[in-house]
Amino acid sequence: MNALLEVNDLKTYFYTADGIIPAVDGVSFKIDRGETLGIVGESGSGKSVTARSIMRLVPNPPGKIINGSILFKGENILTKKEKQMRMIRGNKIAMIFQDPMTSLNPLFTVGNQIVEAIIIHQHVSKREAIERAVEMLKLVGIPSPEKRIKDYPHQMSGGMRQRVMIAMALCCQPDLLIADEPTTALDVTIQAQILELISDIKEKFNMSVMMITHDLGVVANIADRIIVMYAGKMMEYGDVEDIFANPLHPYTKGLMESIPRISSNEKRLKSIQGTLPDLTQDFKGCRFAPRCSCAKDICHNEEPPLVQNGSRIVRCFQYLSGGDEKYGKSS
Amino acid sequence: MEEIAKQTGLSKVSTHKSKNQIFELLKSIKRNKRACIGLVIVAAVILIALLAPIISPCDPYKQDLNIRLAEIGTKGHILGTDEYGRDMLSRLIYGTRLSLLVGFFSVVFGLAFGVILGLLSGYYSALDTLIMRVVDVLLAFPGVLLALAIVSALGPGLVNVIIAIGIWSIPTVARVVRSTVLYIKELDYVTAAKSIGESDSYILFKEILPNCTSSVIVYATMRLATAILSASTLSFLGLGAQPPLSEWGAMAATGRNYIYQAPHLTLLPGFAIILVVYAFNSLGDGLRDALDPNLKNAI
Repeated sequence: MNALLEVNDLKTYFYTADGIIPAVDGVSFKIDRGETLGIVGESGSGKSVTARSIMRLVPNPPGKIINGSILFKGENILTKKEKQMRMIRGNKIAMIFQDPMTSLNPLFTVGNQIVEAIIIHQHVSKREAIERAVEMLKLVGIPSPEKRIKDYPHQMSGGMRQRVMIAMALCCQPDLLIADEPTTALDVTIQAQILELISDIKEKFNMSVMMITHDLGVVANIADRIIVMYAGKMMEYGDVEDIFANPLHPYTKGLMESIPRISSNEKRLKSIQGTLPDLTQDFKGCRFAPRCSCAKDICHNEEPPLVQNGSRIVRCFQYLSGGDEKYGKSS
Repeated sequence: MEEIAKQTGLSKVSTHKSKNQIFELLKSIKRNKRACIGLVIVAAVILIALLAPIISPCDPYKQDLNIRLAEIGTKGHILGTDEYGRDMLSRLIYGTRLSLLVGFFSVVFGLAFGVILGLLSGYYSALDTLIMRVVDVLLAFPGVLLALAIVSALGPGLVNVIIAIGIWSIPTVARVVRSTVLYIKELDYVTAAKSIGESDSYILFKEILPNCTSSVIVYATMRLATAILSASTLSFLGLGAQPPLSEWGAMAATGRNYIYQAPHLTLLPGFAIILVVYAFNSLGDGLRDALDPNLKNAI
């Protein structure tokens, strides 16, 4: 079966006054129909830029996709004209954003905004569009949608606004939903509701979902496969159970260890020492090496390749076959 | 289906909202004394301009050489008469019409071009440099000098004054709009609009422009004051309204010849200009306080 979305060696660089920032540097993955892919990583690791590259919404300048291909249903999105892209955005690939407080236009009613989204892609009358909008609001669990459709964004809570955003994204029944940290700005109970809503709707419409988050708890619940990103590079890629049961990359291990456990008696939360490297600097070796507890000489001098390890891919010398001699005995 | 459309009735919602908003606006202006005074004067001036033929006691152009340069308080001519015996009060009342007309149209002219240029240069970074350098050139001329130069080139007359002051307003309007656009276009709801496949023109005019209106309204109100003042200036210099039109600036200019015998010929139009300019400025200030969400939170 052909994958719904296939990203090959995507490179999106930002050309700034301080130098070139390789925000996304050679990322490849694919999403099958009905699959949920989680992309995890800390701030600045290139998750959102990957998502926006797929939507072709990277601000240009300074951003530019300089390499790679993005095949959506077998067609390369990167060679499409802006006009064709508009037919895809919202219609085939839809996106929800991190902050529901700012992602709705404060000057229009939510109904107005959903109706607008429906009318662009579907040749329906305004009345039918309104009817659809009410249906969508009902679907995302907003009580008495006929009344709520007349509300302005400021009359709704964060969770409700995120539901409206989801309704807007889903109104044309896209094949792929990109959720860019959809729950970060919400509190925990609302978070759970929104995640549940997304997976319900995914089942209902047989959609694929790309879930971007820095919260491992979120992906554990919802994703089939995950990508761990660090400084624009893919560090680990595999099934969610495998990665949670047995993280291979030291960075993934570090992330797992930093999840606070309710049973633990430790006073301080664990964290990974250090911060992301300055991406404008030329970098030799593994980007994680300066923070890695098992870094060896080679890690500082040579960039590790992506290593296939069973069903998983990991970017670390440890798992390179015959890499042991090169890497030295692993601790 | 009709049920739902009836229940939701999106078109009704918007009128309901704008009424509410105007009410809110009036409420916050009411709290501000200066803005309140400004609003009252502006309303009065507009009313006077509209009702000029009804409320003015005489024909402003009817000469009566028997009572030239009559003083303030003369019977039948409360504010006296000018050098041709024309009733000053009537001339001032008709002057409101011209001043408001010139102010309004020149600001509309400036806004029409300024807003479009500002939107384009804020949204398309490729056009930004080009438009902003042209704007820089226009801004490099000291205010009235630019209007003066344009009127001299086009020839005297009220229409040309409107065009000149309009052109002079373009660069500042463009700057104001551009800066707002630069901020708004980065907001999530604009990206969200793009992500549902909206076209550029829709985003510019339906998403971004409505969010610029508050700064544009404030600027336009303030600009009206400047426009009225500059129109009078140009008329005073003989480049605007031509005699016998009863324009305040022109009235002050001709009255200057009689400043020793009949100072009210110059002073009255001068006061009228001051009053209107002050009123529009205070109203603009009040509107800014009312419409600026940052200031609103601060209070």
